[in-house]
Amino acid sequence: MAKRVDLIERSIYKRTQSFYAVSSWVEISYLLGPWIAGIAVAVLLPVFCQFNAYVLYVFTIAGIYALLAISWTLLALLRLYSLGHAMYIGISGYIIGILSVSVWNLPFYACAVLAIFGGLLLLVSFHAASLKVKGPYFLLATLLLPIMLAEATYLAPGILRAEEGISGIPVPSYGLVPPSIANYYLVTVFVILILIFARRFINSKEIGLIVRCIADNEYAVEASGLSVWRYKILIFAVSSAIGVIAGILYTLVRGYIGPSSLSLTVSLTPLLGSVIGTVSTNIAGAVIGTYLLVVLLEGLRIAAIYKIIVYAVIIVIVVLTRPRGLFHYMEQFYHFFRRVYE
Amino acid sequence: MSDKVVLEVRDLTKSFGGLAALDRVSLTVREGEIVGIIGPNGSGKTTLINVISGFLKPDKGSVRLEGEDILGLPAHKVAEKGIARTFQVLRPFYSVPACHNVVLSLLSPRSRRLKYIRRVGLAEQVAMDLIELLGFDRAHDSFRPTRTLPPGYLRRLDIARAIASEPRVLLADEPFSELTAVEATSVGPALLRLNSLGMAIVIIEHRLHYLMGLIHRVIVMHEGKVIFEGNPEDVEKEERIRKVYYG
Amino acid sequence: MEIIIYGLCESFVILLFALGFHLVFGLGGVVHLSYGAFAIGGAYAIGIFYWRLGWAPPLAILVGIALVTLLVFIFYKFLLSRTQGLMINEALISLAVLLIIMDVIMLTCGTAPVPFPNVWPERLVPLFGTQFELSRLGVIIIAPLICLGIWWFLKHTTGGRGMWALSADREVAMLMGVAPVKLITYMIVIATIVSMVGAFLSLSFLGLSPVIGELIILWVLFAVILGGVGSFKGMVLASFIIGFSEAITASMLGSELKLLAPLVIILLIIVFRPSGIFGVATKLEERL
Repeated sequence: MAKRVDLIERSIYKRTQSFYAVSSWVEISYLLGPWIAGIAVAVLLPVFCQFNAYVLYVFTIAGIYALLAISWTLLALLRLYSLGHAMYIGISGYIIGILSVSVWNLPFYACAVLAIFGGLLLLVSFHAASLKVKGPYFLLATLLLPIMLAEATYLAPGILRAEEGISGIPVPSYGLVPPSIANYYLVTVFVILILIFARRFINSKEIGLIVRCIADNEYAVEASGLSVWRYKILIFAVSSAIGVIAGILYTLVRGYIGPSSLSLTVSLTPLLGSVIGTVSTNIAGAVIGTYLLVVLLEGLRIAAIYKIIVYAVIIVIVVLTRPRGLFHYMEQFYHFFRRVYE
Repeated sequence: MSDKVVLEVRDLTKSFGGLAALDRVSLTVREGEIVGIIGPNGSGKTTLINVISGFLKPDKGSVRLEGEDILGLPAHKVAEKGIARTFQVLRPFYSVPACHNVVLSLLSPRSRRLKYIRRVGLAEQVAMDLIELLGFDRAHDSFRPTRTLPPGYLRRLDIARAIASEPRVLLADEPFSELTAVEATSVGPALLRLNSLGMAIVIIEHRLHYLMGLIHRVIVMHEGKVIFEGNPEDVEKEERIRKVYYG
Repeated sequence: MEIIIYGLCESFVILLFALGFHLVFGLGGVVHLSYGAFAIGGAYAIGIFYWRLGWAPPLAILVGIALVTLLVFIFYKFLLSRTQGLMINEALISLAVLLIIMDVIMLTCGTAPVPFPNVWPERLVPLFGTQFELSRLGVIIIAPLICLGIWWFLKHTTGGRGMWALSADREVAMLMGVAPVKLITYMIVIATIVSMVGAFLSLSFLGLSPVIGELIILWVLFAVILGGVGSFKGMVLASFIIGFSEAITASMLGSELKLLAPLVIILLIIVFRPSGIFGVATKLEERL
């Protein structure tokens, strides 16, 4: 006989689905437990690992990739799957690099602000222009952009320093906290948490409703009197802003930008992390998936030679089996009993 | 039903490649009328709606809403001026509850203006009133997941979405398609109720029998041209129309 | 005058590679992003057979082509066809395979150029006052023939017309008896063979290294975007635009900067006319 899986809701899950959830401590802790535990682990990580610089570095980079994953998921809402998310890092990184090292010597914060403006302008114009053309175009064009930027670095070796990249990007000497890897890590965690809570907040507001409807049937939204174009541009702007911020953090942490930051694996990691973490556009899932993926990749660094091949195999497995996303299974485990019948 | 003209279309022409989808189509809709546009598939009916509602730009012609020229405006601006449309293919917003399909429409500039809506919470109340007007069970159906609703309900949900902004004219694109005979009986009365509140309705259909008894006037289209305009009863007698439909 | 010859040569090389991609992607609608990687992989295989194993060029070439064709066939049958036509999944899988292939190449051969068997006799042909390698002229002569052959194939054979039908309207084509999976398999195989032919015609003067590999992938994407997705004429025209702009830039600014012109052109296209020269400009309103 075929296997059958029964999912039975836990009674506490059923109880907490209405506003009676605030009536008992048990129910409140059931709902808030995962959040508090997750945030606590994230924030206290530096303590857990005894401020080990390598571990913190890996998790900071993972956080940056997670930001890219959030940016990617926003675009994926509109069924625009970007294959070139390294571009966000590339644009902001090179703008900062040019402004602070190779051409002028502006201080970091000024470069960062200019990078945000420049990046937003370029990226939103690209997205807006690509609205006019059908699906495969977006895949190709986003795939092409990082490659083009990488090639361009060879064309202007004085400014863009070709293969070796721009290094020695100055770290801001003033600011709220002293520059250290632990602080960088906490900054990334902080930004991610802000975004996660912002998403939950916006979801319940008008914009969240409108955007979800645009994803379902944009013609109906247009016929109801709402300008779909305006909301798409808004999403592009938000997605690009998050991506550019990720790029700024990346440049800050590494102090370096080069063609290796524009490679295909950089583009695919946030994508894969989002897909592993969640099927829908749940940001928390994308974040968790991306952290796991990056840590896994770091672990593969031991098997240095085969890293990319293993990575590629992971992609193939994920695509062929199409899991519902880790977050989905985690939710199932938490909210449901699972009984398997033979 | 007054004599005031609410929607006036003149000499609308639109070709795709070499094929003329609309060929100098003209029609007028008066306040409070229900006009039926019928014709076989491919006669240009949906193209006509797409042009009037702003989703397509015609090659020639003019569209006037209460005297104001609206040709060339983008679709959302046309909706804001007061023309609403439904869609032939049922594609509601599945990722939101049933009444939020209508709430979306209540967040448009026109609805906000006409219904004084400020927040989503208030909009939900208005949305529930609207779907009750169209025959839903307010308590039971308002927050159901949209995917649990049968097609008859989904069709009326689409109509509710369209009329939420109190349009002057409602363009219903094949409202009886994708419905069984039983489900279809719920759509007609809903449209009549809207008309009794003063809304002009244009119904595109190619199933004649649903329209009889519903419409005041009928326009017959064939291959992009208007070939007949008059009373519904006369349609059955016209030899030309018989040939167009039955060959 | 030599600009014209170099320009023609460059354009035809690009065209040969873009041709195969257009067959698979523009017509078949399969997002086969590892197309270039397979071509490069095949070229490297030929290079290895010839160089490390010392086989005679004809044998190396034939075995190389056969090997790559087999691999592509396996790739399509067991991996790509399982994606059920979802664009993003196809993109991911083909990118994964691209990563694998490029990494394998990097591991086995490193970044140094690999000698490639020269199909053409090593001769210089005096023409219009300067000497040209026979290989370049050979490309100019043979490539148009291949191109015309493909065009004829698309227009006049059942398989070719089936491809047109598939790209126009998939469901109707299936109703008419076009079996998409089988046909696309043929197409991918043919496309790979065409690209391999393009490879061994051109790599004798291009040289074989990972840099050239990336260049080829870049060219193909350029040609498709500039010409408009799914347009044969567009792809041909785009190949010539890219080829000639490269040749002109190379003669004026030196061959390191030759990619500058195509880059700028593509940037302009992306911003001002993303649909390409012959592409469809607006999103088709499907069945409102």
